[in-house]
Amino acid sequence: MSTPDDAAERRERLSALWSAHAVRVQAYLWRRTDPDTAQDVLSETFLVAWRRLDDVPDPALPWLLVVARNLVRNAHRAARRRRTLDDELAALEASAPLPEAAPEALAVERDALLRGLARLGEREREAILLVAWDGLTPADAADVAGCSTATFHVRLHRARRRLAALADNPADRPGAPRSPAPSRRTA
Amino acid sequence: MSTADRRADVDERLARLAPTTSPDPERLDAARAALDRALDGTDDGTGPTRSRWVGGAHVLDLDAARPGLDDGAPHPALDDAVVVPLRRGRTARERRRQRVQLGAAAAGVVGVVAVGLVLAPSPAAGPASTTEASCAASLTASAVPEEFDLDPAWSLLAQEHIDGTDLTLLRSPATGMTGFCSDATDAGGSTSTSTLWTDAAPAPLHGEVSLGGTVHDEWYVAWGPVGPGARAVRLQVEPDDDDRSDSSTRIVDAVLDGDGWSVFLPGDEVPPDARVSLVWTAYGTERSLALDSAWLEDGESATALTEQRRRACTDDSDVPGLRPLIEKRYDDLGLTAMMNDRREVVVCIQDAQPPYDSWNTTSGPADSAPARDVAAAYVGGSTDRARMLTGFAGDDVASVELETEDGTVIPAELADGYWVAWSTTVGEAAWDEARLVWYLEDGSRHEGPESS
Repeated sequence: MSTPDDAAERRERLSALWSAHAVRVQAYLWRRTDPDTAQDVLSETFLVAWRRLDDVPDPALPWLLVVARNLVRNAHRAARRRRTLDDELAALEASAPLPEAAPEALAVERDALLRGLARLGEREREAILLVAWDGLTPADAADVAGCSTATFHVRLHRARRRLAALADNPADRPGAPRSPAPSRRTA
Repeated sequence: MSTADRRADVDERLARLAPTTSPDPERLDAARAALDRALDGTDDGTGPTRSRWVGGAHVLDLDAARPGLDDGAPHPALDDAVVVPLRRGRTARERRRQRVQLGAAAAGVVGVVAVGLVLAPSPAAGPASTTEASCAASLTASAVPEEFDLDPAWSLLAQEHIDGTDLTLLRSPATGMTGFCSDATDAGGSTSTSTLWTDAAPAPLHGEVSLGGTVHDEWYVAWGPVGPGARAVRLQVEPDDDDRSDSSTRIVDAVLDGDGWSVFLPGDEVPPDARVSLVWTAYGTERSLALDSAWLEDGESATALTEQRRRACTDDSDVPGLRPLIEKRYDDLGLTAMMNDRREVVVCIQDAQPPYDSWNTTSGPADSAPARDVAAAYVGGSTDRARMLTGFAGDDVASVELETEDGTVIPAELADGYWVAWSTTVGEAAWDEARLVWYLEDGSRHEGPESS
């Protein structure tokens, strides 16, 4: 039978998990679903952690992200909603707010990168952000993405290549305005 | 700037944008408040928690979590298992690493070998033969990840020389591995190795014999433990019904060594559709065990292998009182779904052959039945090898299937208001977008989940 001390210790540990990772999990959820669903899933992710506190590994973030991902997937399976490009861009902008005192150059950079990210496929986008934003190793990120480490490396490589092209060469972006081609005709 | 530099540069540029503050502090606080209410059992449903999804797809119910949550005890809350990382769904290499690590730690054999391989001879085997040592080295190289400085301490289970080929079966008690080598030395041919995890094989009761594992390739190899009082173990191979005759049934004496048995046969002498059985004598009577009896046909009774397969599915769950609900084999994989009287289920996609490793396991309550004429998705799991989706169906639902956008249809197994669809071939993206379709007893077709 558990004691009040056990309960207090468990609550303390859950609070520590929340303090360390809630913001990161929330940002991850904002990239993947709407704010309402993200709010629900965030609390439920940590409720799962509470129930499975003894199973939560160290580091805990990859485990929490897998739980959050599975909850979102099941939610989406019910809702069957599709996000447009604008939705994706809005989700990315919301999940990574620009600091208030950010220089103009960073704002421009952010705009280019987020637009590029929005044009990536969902799996490629997730691959690169799990590493670049969530700070996971490729092996941990592969667990979160639900694929093998080898598969994840392929996704990550492809995502980096495509994002570099999309962010730095606007003409490569589908639908982007192109410069007029030089004419060969002579008068 | 080179292309490689540009890609590395993308990582750095993205890292500068990594969110360090909450995208919405108010919602963050609201989520924390909802969590605290659930833990304190004070959630009256009127707080800022968002409305819950309908259609049975929402995995966790905060209401269900309420009673007694704050007693400090680790709650086995069954519905959590469906969303926590599926440890058994990892890659083969990760599984192998984990098993080797666990086995090595248990046996305290880590760090024995650096370059040369030191075999720990089996107590009765004497010095290892060249063939045995070569087999052990090959198995170690193929089965033990490089980062483990580990000697599995192979010991000899059986060895035969058939048609110019050395056949060697080794076991590593430290890691739970059994390995097989065929070395066609006389013919100047090739060497091949196979390894299986067989530590899940149960010890047989008095007078019983059980199956540890089989390898069926160029050679057919079967082995397992022998219980006290069992003797004269034979392997019986019967071709399929069409050309079965007394003369075509083959019986091979197994080699008995200590508390184990083993049989080697050329692979083509065991046709894929043959019925293979173990036959032995115990206490004056002849007994038998069909090696494919883990997966039962209609009307067949459960065997020791059936129970072994079910245990391999449910061992990692804490769900009591399970009984079989759906059990189907498809080629080299099978589906096991078990349910108890409280309508709690455990579902596995697992190897069809011993030791019946599970590749994808989910568990949870199955009491959220939808309306009578409706089917609804509940929860799914995905690994590299297979994808699975489970759900509920009302009394009037005759069949359930998933349809991908390219028209692929995955029929679900349906029993007792619970259904399971799974596939090893449909890709993850197509699987996620698949549409749920069900047919009622009157033949009408319905689609979901929007309509659920």
